[in-house]
Amino acid sequence: MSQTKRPHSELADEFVIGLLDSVEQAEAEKLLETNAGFAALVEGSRRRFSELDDTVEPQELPADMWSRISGGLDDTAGDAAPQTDTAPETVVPFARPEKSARPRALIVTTAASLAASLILAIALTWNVMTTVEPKVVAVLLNDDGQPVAMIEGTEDNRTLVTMLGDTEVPAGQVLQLWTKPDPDGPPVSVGVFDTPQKTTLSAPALPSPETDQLYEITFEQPGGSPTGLPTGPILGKGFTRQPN
Amino acid sequence: MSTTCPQTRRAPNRFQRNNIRQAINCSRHALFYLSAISGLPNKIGAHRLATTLQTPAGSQLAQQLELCAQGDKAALREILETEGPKMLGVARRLLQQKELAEDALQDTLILIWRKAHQFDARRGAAKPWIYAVLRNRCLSILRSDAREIATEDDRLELRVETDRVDDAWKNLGHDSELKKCLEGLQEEKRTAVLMSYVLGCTHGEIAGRLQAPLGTTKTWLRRGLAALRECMS
Repeated sequence: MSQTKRPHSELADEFVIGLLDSVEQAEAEKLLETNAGFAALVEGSRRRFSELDDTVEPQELPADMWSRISGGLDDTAGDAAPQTDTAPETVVPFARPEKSARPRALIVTTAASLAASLILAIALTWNVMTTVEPKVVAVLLNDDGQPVAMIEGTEDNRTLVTMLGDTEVPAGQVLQLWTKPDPDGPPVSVGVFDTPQKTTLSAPALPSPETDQLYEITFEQPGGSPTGLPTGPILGKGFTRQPN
Repeated sequence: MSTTCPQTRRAPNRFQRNNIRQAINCSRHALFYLSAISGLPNKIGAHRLATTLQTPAGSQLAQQLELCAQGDKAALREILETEGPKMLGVARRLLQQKELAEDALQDTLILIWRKAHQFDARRGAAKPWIYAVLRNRCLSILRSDAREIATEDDRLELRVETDRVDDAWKNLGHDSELKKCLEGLQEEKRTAVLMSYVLGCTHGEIAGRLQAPLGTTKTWLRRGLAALRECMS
C-alpha cells in the first residue's frame, strides 16, 4: 500500500509545506482521510507554521472582491454542494461524514466499505494468526512498575497490542500507541484504539521496529492527540527486546 | 527564471537549463542568501498577533464556517472581511503578482464555501484550516504549467526573494515559539525551512538558490523540520 518508509511526522510537515512529490502527496492525502493519527500530525504542523502566515502585511482588498466571489458560489451551498472543484482534496477531509443527498450512492458506498473492512479484518486476523513472528516484543509498565500492555512488532511494522489486566479508559478518551523509531527524535503515532483488548495496528510508513525502541500508550481525545505528539497521561511505557 | 520559484519539478527545457546554469555560475547568490537571513537584527516588526487558535476570533471563524456549511453567504463575506486582507498578503508573498494573488483569494473563498461542511471544529482549529485551503490554492497556481517563465534578471529576483524571507523572519514576534526554535537551527537548515514555507519553493528550487546538492538540501530540510517538531512539542 504505502511506498514511503518515512515517519508520518515527517510526511505531515512536508505535506503541509507542499514539499511532497506526487506519489507521496497522493499517499498523504489518503492517510489524511483514513488515519486519525496522521490527521492530528497535519493539524499540529499547520499550527506550528501558522505564525509565519501572521507575519505578512495585510493587503487592501479590491473593491469588487466580494462580487467576484459571490458570482462563483453555488446556490445550494454547504452540505448539498456538488464537489465540482478540481483542486486536490488536501484539506481535512476526515471531518464529518458528508450528508449526501444520494441515499442510494451512500448505501452502495457503505456496502462496499463494509465488504472491504471485512476482507481486511479477515486478512489481518489471518496474518496475525498465521504469522505472529514478532521481531521485537515490549512489555509496557505503568508508574507503579506493573505491566499494562504487551507490544509485538513485526518486521513489516504491524503491531499487535495486547492489553494486560484491567485498563480503565476514561469516558470520552481513546488509547494511542506511540514509538520513537529514532531515539533522539520525537515520538510518532503508531495508531489509535479505543477498546482495551487485543488490537493490531498497522503503520507501514514507520521504519521496522528495532531492539531498545521506546513504546508508550497515552490517553488522548477521540481521534488521537490533536498536536501529533503525546498530550495525555501515560498509561505505560517500555523498551523492545528481541524474542529468542 | 520566473519571478518566484520556477517549476524545476519538470525537466527544464534548454532555455530554463541555461538560466539555471547562469544562476549557479553566479556564486554570490548563495552567500547572499545565507548572509541575508543569518545574523538578522532582532528588531521586531510592529505588532504580531498570536495565532488565534482557541481565542474568540478563532471560534468566531469556526462559527462562520458552520454557517457557510448551512448556506449563509453573509458568513462567508464576514470571513472575507476579517481574514481577507491577511489572506491576500499571504497570497501576494507566495505568488508575487497582484492579479494572481487576487485570483487565488477569490478561488480560495469559493473553495471554503464548498468545503465548509468538511470542517469539524472538534478535529482542528478554523484558522489553520482556512489558511491550508489558501496555501494549497496558491501552490497549485505557483506550480501550474500556466505560469509564464519570466526573464527578469536573476539577481533582482533573488533580491526580492531574500526580502520576502527576511521580512517573514523579522516579523515573527519576540515571544514567538517558532522564532526561538528557528533560531536554534543551523543557518542553512533555517534558511531552507523558511524558503520552503515563505516562498513555497520545492526541494530543487531551494537547492538551486543555495547552490547545494539536492540530497544535501533534502537532508537540511528534513533535519530542520524534525528539530522544529521536537523544539515546539
